[in-house]
Amino acid sequence: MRTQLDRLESAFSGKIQVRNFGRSEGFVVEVGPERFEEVAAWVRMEESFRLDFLESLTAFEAKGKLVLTWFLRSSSNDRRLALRTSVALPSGNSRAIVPSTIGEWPHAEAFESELGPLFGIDFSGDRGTGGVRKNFGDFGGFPLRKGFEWREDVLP
Amino acid sequence: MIYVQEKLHASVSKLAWGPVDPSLPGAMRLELEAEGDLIRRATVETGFLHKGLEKSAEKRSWFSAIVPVDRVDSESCLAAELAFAMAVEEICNIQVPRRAQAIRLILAELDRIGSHLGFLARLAISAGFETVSHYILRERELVLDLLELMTGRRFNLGFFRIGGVAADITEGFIERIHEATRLIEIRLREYHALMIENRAFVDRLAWRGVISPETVHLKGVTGPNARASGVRLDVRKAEPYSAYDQFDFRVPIGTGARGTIGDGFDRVIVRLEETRESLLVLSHAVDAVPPGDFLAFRMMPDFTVPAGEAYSRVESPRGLLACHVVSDGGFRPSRIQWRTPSLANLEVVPDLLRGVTLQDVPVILASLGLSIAEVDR
Repeated sequence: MRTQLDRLESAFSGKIQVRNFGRSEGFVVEVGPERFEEVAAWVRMEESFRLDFLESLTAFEAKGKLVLTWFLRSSSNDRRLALRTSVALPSGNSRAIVPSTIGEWPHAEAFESELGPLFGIDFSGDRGTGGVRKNFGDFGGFPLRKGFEWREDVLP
Repeated sequence: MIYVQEKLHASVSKLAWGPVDPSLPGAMRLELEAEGDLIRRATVETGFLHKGLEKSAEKRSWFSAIVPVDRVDSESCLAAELAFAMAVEEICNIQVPRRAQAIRLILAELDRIGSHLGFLARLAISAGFETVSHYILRERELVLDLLELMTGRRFNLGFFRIGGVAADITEGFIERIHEATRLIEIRLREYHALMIENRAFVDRLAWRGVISPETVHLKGVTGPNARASGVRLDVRKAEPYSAYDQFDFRVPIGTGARGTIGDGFDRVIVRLEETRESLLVLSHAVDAVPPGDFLAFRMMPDFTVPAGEAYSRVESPRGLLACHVVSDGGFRPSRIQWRTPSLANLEVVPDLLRGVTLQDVPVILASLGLSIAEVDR
């Protein structure tokens, strides 16, 4: 896997950072949102990666940023990788804008349709088929953000 | 097989099904556009069972976070407990005792057997085989009794702990497991005769609700639904956890026995075969529990987890269940996010229902083994 990551680093020299993911043997590649689509397409199509299976798309808030992580694997080899981007946390009820990856991994639609209303994220680009809709009602905010104000009608 | 279809001169009608309907797998709304009896378009709407479990976990301590974790899928809750515990143990670098690993495996396989029996019972009801469902639920009661003997509860067990399990093996538990596995193995042969050899049951499922291997990859389908489509992916084999690397078991895949690979019938066969394999693993595992502690340490209510993150995967009865845990070093989780198998498995429903008749909808949905509770969390 190290060889493949070296190839990725040389293809996007200076634009990405590769770290170990927690204590695991896995890796996370951190990319800015402006280059994210390009890197996502590369790891999906590049022969040595072929990361065509999106296992999960997660989001969390840390240090004033929204951090999104795509957990990817390949259906044809044993490669696994986490791809990460982060955007500044908007204030109030403003929404963050993150590129959608439905074009690369159609399964991303399931996660984007959840994280969008819960974190206040607009995934720009492909909107998917809309076959499965989420109806969470109106929270009057974005409940998964740390600053969300709990009201009487929205109890923990 | 050639289908001769009479062209109906009927206009398109719109049907709204749910969110509360016994023929649906949970609280979900189906909006169907049907031309006569044939469905032209299907849309699914969920969110009615959103309980805010992930947010709720952030409000609790690491000690009590097991409560919302448990409720991700109440019917097979141990997978979520295990994924959460594994993620936190990775962040904290906790070595789980071998005895605890073995107990986790035993309970996880019991959970799997109970979940698959519940699937068979619901499928039997949806296909009009209510008598068979009573027999299956009778055996499921054995499994729930075993879980109650060990954990004190039948659902929402709350038994796994960070570092191990809540208690050691109860007296009489191992003997009861052996009795139950022998009995369920016999009953599985009866279900085979009642359902699999029954032409009426086969006709309800064969060639219905076909999921292709390409769809499995595109939509992220995992678990028995993916294996029924020929995709041999099982986390217990691919990345063994707990004590799974010590036991040999088959991973059954669909063969298109009565229809085509990936149809509803293959999804039933795969789950029946998986139940048999789980019984085999269980009967060996209970005789191979190593001595030692059942818990690495006793966690106090003010337990903190160092700053870091982890992503753990387990094979739940419905498919790949993953948990991303983030800690900021405090005594509450900063973030817990679930990747539940039903979230992906539900994505194939609009495509599966296109072109089928209305009468096939409940059976196709039941054959997917969905849990709307884990979709909405």
